[in-house]
Amino acid sequence: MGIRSRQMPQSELAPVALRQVHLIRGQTPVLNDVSLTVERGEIVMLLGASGSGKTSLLKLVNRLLEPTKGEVWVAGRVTTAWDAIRLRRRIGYVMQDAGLLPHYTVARNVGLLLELERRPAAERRARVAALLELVGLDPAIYAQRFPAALSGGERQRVGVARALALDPALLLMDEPFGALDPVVRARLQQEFAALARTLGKTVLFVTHDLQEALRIGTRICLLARGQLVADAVPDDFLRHDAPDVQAYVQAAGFGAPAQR
Amino acid sequence: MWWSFLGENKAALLVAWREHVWLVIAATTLAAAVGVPLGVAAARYAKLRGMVLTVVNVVQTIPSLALFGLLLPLPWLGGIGARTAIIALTLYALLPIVRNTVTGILDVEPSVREAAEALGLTGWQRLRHVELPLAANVIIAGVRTATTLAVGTATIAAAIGAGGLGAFIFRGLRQNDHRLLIAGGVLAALLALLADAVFIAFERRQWPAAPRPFARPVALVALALIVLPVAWSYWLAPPVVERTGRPIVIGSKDFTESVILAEILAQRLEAQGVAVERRFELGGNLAHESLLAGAIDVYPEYTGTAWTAILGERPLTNPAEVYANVRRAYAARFGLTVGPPLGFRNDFAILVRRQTATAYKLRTLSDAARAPIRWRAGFGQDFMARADGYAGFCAAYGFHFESPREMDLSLTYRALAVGELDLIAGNATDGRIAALDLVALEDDRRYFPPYEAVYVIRQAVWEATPVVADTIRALDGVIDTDTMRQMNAAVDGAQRSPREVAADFLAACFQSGALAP
Repeated sequence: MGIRSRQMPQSELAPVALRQVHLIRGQTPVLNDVSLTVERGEIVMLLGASGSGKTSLLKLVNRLLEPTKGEVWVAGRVTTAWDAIRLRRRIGYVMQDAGLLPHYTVARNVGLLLELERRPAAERRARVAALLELVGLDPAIYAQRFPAALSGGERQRVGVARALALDPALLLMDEPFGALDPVVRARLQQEFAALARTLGKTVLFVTHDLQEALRIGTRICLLARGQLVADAVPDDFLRHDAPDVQAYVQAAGFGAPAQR
Repeated sequence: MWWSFLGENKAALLVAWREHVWLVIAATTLAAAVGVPLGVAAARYAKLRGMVLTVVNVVQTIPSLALFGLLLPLPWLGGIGARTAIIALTLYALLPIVRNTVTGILDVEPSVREAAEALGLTGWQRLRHVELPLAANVIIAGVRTATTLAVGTATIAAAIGAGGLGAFIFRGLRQNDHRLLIAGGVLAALLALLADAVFIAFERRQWPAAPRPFARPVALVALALIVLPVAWSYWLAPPVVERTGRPIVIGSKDFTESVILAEILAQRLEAQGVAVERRFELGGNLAHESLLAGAIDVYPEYTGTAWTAILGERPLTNPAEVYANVRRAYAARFGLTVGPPLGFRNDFAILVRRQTATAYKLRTLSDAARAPIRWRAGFGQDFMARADGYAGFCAAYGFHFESPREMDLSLTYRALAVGELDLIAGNATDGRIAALDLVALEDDRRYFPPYEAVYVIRQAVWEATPVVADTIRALDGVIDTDTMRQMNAAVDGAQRSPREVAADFLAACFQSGALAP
């Protein structure tokens, strides 16, 4: 097989490592024997069609779900040994429709975790302003707005700022740009890739969009029917010979790999 | 007419308003304090949800008098008065609050709920920062519904001696007095509207908040209109501080005669320095149940009612036999002592207009059955239905009425007076017999069972307080049927208070030497 094989001697120290993970929800098998190690600073794209189990895999990492069999390691500890709340606060999370609290202003949404961690108000204000700048929103204009007054792209920027509030080393992104129009999406993808690299964050990024995976990722993993069927750097991915990869690539309109 | 009515009843209406407002505030506050946490728990745990919603639903279907009957004997919760009423109203107010809390929380956007969980908010933090604020509008709408409902249901609090505007409504129905009925009903409706208006201030907030310039002023005015009469009532009629120590608690049923009899006993005891607490106008069968529960010590009853309605026996016609049987059964079964008969009977009385009686020389029911008259008869629902009522009466005297009218008892009196009916069945001591110049025909075949008035008292009290037992013994036979009829007329017709009428009666007894002062 052409899958780049990875051993896991260092997996305890890696930001994220899955070891022979099985997940069954109700009666349905969702993940079947998935092993995956994410190294520091990697941007790993979890690519797959809907129902492939990619979002469930993400939820295993911050313990919104627990594996039926196997182990998930985060920062040197099995997730079930983590206090779930502590674990989640060390991990940034961004989702498709941002999930901002509609009754709080942008500033309070971004600063909510700082508030819950009892950081002083002055520190909070400064941090929120810096975070908004970082995601390209002018605090003077946006801080006091409510989510209902934002465009889709602005909401996702706020979502990213909120995820960065406690400066987590690891970010989980669940199709964050999936619902945006193509122009805005392309811009946010670029900005996000640059931001993650500048900040040196480790990222696990779920998407069904091959182009997005190629644009952002340092590594692409294809999930199909609950299994990891390909794991490659973007340059190798299109040439990957697994039938699932070829099917995905062709469906996405990239044509045969030879043409590239 | 309305001005003088309101002037005369100003203090009583204000006190009723005050009692009503406090009942509603206490019940809805309690219901919210219990209902919101219950709703939160039910929203969180699906297994609990079905059970909680079923229970609060079922509670709604319990009729209020039955609920009072269930609560009465309970320690802490029960008894007569505001406490039981508040518990019952709270139970009724739970449904909208619990249901809206559950709905409000479950309706929170799933993505928002998921985001809060993924960010690492604890259960409490999710409740405080996400679920409660986003469900607040729906929860407040539930409290609003509960409050409006409570204003309506609080009218039944009068049945268990908790007062409120319902006392006017019930009294108006009994005495066929539209002014009382309308005053109670209109004020209750007004209170419901005002309470609803207060909630405008808490209504739907959007983010960012939409400007609603009138909401606050309207709510404040409504609140002032609720509170000012309450304040006025405290100034006009400060609440009576109940005496400490165990007074003798006297109850009565919810009609004029019962109140007068209870008042007579209360005044006799007070004259001898006994502390007395009045728990009058208890609805339905609640006086008897209160006595059993120890919430009252004594109340006036009728031997016929005790024998057929409470003990469930077949009607008997011999007064001495009924009295002896009731006395024995009450002692054995309930631990209650039946005092000596007060002297009058409130039997069923067959009534005709005086001209009819004079024209056909009618004195007895046998005369009436023989008279060449096509009787147009009308009877109350109670008389038509009961074991000692219509069917047996017709058989005993050989009456054949052509389609007798079944209608409200009060209305039969008026229909007889204006000549729409020729014969009705009323109560022997009804004040209207004299007021409308009617004649009661003698029951010469002794068909109707006797309804002798007696005081029923708890044995423990009868034995422990000789002064009470002596007082009740002294009232043996002091009230004849005519006197009772006049006292009823003084209250129902001349609008005098039962307290005055009882005082006049006792003064007359002292003068004639029937009682020693």
